[in-house]
Amino acid sequence: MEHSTTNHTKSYMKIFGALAVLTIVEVILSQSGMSHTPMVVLLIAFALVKAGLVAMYFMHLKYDAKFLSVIAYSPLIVASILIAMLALEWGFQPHWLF
Amino acid sequence: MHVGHLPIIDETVAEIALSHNSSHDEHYTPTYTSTGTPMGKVFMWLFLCQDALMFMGLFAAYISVRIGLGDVWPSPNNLHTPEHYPLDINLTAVNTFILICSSVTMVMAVQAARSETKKGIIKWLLFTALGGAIFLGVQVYEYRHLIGEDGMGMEKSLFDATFFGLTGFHGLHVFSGVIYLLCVTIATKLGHKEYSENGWIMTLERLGAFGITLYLWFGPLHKWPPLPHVLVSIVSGAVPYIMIRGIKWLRERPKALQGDDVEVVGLYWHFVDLIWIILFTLVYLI
Repeated sequence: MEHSTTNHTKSYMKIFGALAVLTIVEVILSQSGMSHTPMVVLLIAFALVKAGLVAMYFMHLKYDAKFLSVIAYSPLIVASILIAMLALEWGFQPHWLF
Repeated sequence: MHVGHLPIIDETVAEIALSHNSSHDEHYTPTYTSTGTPMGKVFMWLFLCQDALMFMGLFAAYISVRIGLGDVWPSPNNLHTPEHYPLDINLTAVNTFILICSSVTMVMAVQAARSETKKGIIKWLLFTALGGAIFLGVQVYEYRHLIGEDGMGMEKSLFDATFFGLTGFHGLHVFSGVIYLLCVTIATKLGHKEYSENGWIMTLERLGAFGITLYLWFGPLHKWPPLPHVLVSIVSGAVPYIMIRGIKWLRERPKALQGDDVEVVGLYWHFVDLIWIILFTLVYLI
């Protein structure tokens, strides 16, 4: 049974600080007038880091049983299929949208 | 730290310990799966897994439409459209911050549940629900502004449709999350004994939950204002599930004082936060 009374407060505050700082950096970055592609890559990278921090520490994936991580990450397989299919679409420059 | 000296909690924990050991208790249902992880947690993860897939479908549609339209798409850093960009990034950044704060108060509630302090659980859960309510308030304000002054609407353009679809879908997750949090708070507050004497509270809660669900579900069919267009897509999934989950929790409350169910509502809440982090970047910033 998981009855650890470990006090994580300190690490939670660190994660909170990281999330807040990353959010501010993101907002500044989006209005900085940087060229488009590197900015998009950076913003998405920051968002993924933030999402990772929330999942690993706030949702305890890092400390919990491994099979919960398997459940948690399984949608990413479907996501990669979706992205692969979308990538094909981009290759064709779809005109059906207009 | 406060380590379980509250009489009510101690009593309940003792009861649970007894019921786990007694073989003659016919109503005993195992809380833990064979993996040692609580049932509620495993199934909340499974629910979040399918919910994540639903969001991914929406994100994929958004990305594909957006890339397809290219320069026409309004964006804060698109040279062709910056003056037409209707979204207020700073306001939403503040809202994002509020949601992150509510995630922190949620982990504090889980922490309190682990050290079995009832007061702490209630306090932090209420703070979390408050954070969610503020987030929703700001979102309603934003919607009113966008629909009323900027003339945006689901049927106006692909930008509008994807915007309201994604943020609305997420917004109702927050909405059902706030209700779920309040259910858990009320349950923690009432405790085990009062519960059985307060059947009418249970009945009222159940009626309320069903009423809201039915209202949201069937409302749009009767030509209500445009916003319910958004609501109808969302209600199909999250709200009834979360409400049923909340009600079930109310019925099987004693277990929750172990802290597992506070953790389960926490998982849901952090997931909502996680989705917003990605949504904020994709929809508002890029």
